[in-house]
Amino acid sequence: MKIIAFLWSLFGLGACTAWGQRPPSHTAATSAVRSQAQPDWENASITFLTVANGSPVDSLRSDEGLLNLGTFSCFTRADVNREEIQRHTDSFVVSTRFGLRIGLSSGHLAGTATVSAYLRSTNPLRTLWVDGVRLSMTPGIIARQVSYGVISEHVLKIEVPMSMPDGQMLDSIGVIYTPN
Amino acid sequence: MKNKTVLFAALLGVLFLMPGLASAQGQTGSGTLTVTANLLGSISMTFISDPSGVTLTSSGTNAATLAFGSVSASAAPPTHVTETVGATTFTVSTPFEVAVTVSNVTSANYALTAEMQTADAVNSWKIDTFPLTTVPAAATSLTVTGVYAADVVHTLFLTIPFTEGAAVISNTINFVATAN
Repeated sequence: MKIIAFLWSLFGLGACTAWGQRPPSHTAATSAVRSQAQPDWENASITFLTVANGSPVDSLRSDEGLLNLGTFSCFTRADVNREEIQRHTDSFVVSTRFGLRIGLSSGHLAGTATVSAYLRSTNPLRTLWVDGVRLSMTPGIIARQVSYGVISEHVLKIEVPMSMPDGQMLDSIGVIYTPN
Repeated sequence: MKNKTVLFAALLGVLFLMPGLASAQGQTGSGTLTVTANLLGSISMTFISDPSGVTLTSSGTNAATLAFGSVSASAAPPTHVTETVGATTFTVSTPFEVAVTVSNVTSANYALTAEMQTADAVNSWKIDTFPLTTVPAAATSLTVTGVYAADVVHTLFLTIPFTEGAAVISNTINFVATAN
């Protein structure tokens, strides 16, 4: 009885394995479908982009972008640098938009990915949010259904205390995408 | 025994498939968005209606209008206007408030000056106890130890001689707050 059950299980696995193999007579079109189903993730990349009404984004290298908010102050007139400034009692929040696209260097990829963001280094003086998610050193999900190859738009907010000294601000946001 | 055998076979099958599943879900990619900005220190001044003074037009902004209304030496002054009648002149006065806020500047207090933009050879203008000068003369110093984020009350005095005929009296007073 044991032997029969074991053989049945092997037969089942064998059938699954055979099912997953491409028959040698398949056409190129079938090969493309296979590419969509099993993408080459090592060649996937994330691109940061400028979007309408957003601060300029420069793509430095693959998977790296530079979002330049320019020069601003608490009492800057709104939208001067494609940013909005909301003043509070002891701080102000500057917000802008940026885009990101997840894609492969070659070929189209169907499906979606979950995107998370985190701070690569902390600055106790200011707080950053992406799409309403407060960033920390631990990745937090900012979008759950980002389609590959499509530019998704995101809102970055930075809260700056009025007591913070003026000068250059530099923050580094890590973005992780995971196939759904 | 039969059930155990089937269970074992199923478990074996699951274990066989697991590496493939783990491989598909473990794929992630990442990118880095560097955010840069140049933060400037700034200072803001607003005029606010004082509860005991005339209501400012555009109160809460840095370009307000204070209208005494119709005044004369022989008639009761408008609401919230104080009038004192002397031997050859009469003076109307009303309080107003100035709020100065600083952001991203290391400063303990501020200096405040005021200056009329048009010469007035007939009437006398004064804020608190300080006669106002007219450009291009040096501005009148109202305080050198102004407190930030506080609604500081000042009083505008306008002295009119009896000899002056009916007229519209108007001037622009430019205030400058400087962080110390």
